[in-house]
Amino acid sequence: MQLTEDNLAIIHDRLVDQADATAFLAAFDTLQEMLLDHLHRVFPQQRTEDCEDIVAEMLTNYFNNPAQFDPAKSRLDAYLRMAVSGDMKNLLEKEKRIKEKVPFNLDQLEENGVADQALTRNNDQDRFVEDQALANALTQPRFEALLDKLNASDQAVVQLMIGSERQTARYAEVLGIAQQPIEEQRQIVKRAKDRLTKWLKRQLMLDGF
Amino acid sequence: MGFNTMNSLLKKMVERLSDSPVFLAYRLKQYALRTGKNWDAIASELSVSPDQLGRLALCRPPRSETKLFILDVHSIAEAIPMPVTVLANFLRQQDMLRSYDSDSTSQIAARDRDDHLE
Repeated sequence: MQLTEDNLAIIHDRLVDQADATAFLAAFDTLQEMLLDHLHRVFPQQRTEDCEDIVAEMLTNYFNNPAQFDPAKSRLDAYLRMAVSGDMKNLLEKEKRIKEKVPFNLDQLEENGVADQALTRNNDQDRFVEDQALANALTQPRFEALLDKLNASDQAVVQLMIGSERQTARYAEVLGIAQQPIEEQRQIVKRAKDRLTKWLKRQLMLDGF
Repeated sequence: MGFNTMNSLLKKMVERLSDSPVFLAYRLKQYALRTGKNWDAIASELSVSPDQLGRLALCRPPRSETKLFILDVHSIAEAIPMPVTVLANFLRQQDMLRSYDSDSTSQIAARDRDDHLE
């Protein structure tokens, strides 16, 4: 379908009409390529996956609530292009802030379970917001203040997690369980890491990040 | 749902829409959970490609009244494209299973209530 003003108006009307079984599919077919092309053109350095995430999020929001667009104010394609551009700019700004503020590698923290599934996440957007907030919260002084609240062995466990330590033996050593059977060590270490991960996230949440 | 072979943007859309009953993505997810089948297996069962199944997921469930159901199923089948009878049978089967689940739950709840009163 051509992106004429009439066709775009038809697409929008079909979405608003709740009886049309194929309205979403028709809108997806018509709009997705235009939006991806737009993002690739305006942000040529950006990864395709990021562009797709933004287009998917925007179309999902629009499909779930088509009334958010007011045809009297603008054309649908202009509205959606502006929306995805805005989302991409926000993403780039957030990524920039993460690089500036985070003393550790957030991916490394996630590998060790700090950004685990302890909190309910409704969708990818929530997860992104949450990770962003976590990243902003983990400045060095704040992290050290949190560590001070823990006992010595828990502090040591967190330091090992931050250092990407993977060997159970190292954790068993600082937890004082090195003499126990290896399977028990694994279970105790896993519980300790899960507990500390959740505690750390809870503390950051309570601090209002 | 294990749909690694699908177009990536379509996949992202299906993932996002599969929690909303407004879309067939939701029913397909429920079916996958109920049967333990992955995306490719469901596509094969419906005689469509994984991408076509993704397109189906973006449609709204047909209206339940018989004439409107037929109208909507034809319109969906044409848009995917896929055989009308396969789609109609699949959707009817899902409706029946859902109403069976719902009836069973009601009956169990009623029986529990009766047992409690006795």
